[in-house]
Amino acid sequence: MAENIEILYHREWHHRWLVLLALACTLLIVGFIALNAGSIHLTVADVISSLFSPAAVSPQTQMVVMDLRMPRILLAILTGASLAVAGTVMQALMRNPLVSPFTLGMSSAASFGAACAIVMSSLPLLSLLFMKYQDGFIVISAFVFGLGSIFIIYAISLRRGSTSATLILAGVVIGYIFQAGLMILQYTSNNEKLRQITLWLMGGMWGANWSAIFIITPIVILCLAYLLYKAWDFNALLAGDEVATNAGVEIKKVRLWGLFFCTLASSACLAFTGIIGFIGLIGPHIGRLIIGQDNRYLIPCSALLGAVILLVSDTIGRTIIEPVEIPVGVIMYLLGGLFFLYLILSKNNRIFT
Amino acid sequence: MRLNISNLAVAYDKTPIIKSISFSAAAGEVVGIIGPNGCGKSTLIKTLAGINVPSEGTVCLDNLDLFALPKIDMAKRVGYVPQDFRQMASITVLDTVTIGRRPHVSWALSKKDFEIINDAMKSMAILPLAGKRLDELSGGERQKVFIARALAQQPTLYLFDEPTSALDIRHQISVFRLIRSLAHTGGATVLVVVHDLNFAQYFADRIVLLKDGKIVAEGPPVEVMTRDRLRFMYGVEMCSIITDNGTYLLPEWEAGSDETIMEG
Repeated sequence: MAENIEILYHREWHHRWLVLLALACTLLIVGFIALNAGSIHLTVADVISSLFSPAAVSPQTQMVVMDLRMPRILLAILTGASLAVAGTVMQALMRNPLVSPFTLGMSSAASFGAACAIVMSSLPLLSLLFMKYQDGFIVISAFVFGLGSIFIIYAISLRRGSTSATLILAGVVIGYIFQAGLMILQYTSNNEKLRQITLWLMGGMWGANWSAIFIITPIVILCLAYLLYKAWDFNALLAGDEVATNAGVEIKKVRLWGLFFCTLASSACLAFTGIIGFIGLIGPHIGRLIIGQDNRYLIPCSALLGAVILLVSDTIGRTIIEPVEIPVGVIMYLLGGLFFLYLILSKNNRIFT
Repeated sequence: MRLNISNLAVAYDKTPIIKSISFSAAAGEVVGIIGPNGCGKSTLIKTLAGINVPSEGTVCLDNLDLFALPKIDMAKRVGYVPQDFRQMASITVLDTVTIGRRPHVSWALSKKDFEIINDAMKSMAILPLAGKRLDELSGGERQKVFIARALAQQPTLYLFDEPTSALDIRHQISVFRLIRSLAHTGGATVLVVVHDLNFAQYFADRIVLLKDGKIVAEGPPVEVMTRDRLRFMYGVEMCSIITDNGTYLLPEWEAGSDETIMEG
């Protein structure tokens, strides 16, 4: 069949916009359900009124919807979107399907940073200072270590003859080094600290509040906008470094800034939520299965997918056996994993390679 | 002259690969680059494509200093087809060819872009493969995809690094005919690394002969590719067979020892 390329392309184009639209609608609906769901039972009318005419509902209802549930929902959306986009872009930059914020050692480094902050708060001199600002200190420390680990990896990549395999190996090894540090901290800390560290490592949306949202939102929007703007460059990199160079991509620059913005967005979110794995790896792959490899569409698609998956998992996690909360990871790995298996098996599709 | 290369030198970790090369190529000309393995042919092509950084020398394309141009402007003028594609990810043929338009578009593709992509794919006969992934293709098909990608870039200087190494004889001929028409009808300048001396002799307007990173000879094929010179270059005795359709070069299978061949 010698079909016209433009027709073929436009057919795909329609399909892609449909997918994006469907995902955006899903996110809105899930968001609304999440506002409505929880151990304090509200009616749909309550939720709508507290969103649009706060005077019409009781202050308690207003507080539950706007101050408890809303920030949590936004945090889940921002975190899911950032991690999925970071995974998508990192996979394109390294041309490797196994790369995610997790596999490059960033999560281990951030965990180590958070654990450091938790343990250090018990040192006699610092304890006074930390009593007040411990949460802020955990956030900053996790963020700095996460970002630092990626720069170590980038410095390695600048050495002559280093391939993307070198980078991934370096990331895995750096992850282990930070793991070792984390284990020492866990082994030597007392019960209370150990519990705190473990809770942070499990990850969850319980740290959500409006000030977290105000800090993360601009960072995430800036990073995602930059990454989307560079979508053509990421596309070109998929055809190899030499071809990308010939297509006018400054590959070293694109790799550095791409990694930087991926890490910035995901570590800003992880600092508040603790470790959230899986989405950075699986989000992009589900995206590729339903929308293809073109990063101009794949990046928004992954962002929406990540947001939906995390939000659904968190909402189920906090409602399924209310008032007890199940860590978001439990639901996410189960649901996301099964959905991913279903996609692979049903579409008979291979992803990346 | 469209392309002026003067005193170009390239080194990998201080080991010189290209040692002060100078030559020119006109618009509408096919320049064949030949020479034994490791003589620096691919390094030369990659340097002109902006992949390797030269240690010395200048390259001017249409009176512009090629290495001083912003990368995007260089990409609009120079199209490169690599020799191997091991680095690629599993993307579709259409997505790959579309990358050729990247220097020319900011976000969306116009009707004209699609026409260019369509024509590029048509001339390589890969339209039916549009939706396939690169790793589902044969080596030859993949090579054609990457040629189409360079065509979609619509440069004035084409750089081909052994563009037919994975193709059968029929496709070799059709690719070389296309390369010749890019120059003769399209007015582009083409530099092509060729291993097959008969293809070089037939399709190139001029030959640049490289050995150990230096130019040994340069000129029309018949003048450059003499038996003495080829013996010196490759350590192989060649004989010419003259027919009504032209001259063919064939190796004398048993002449020359293996040692001289291996030493190049």
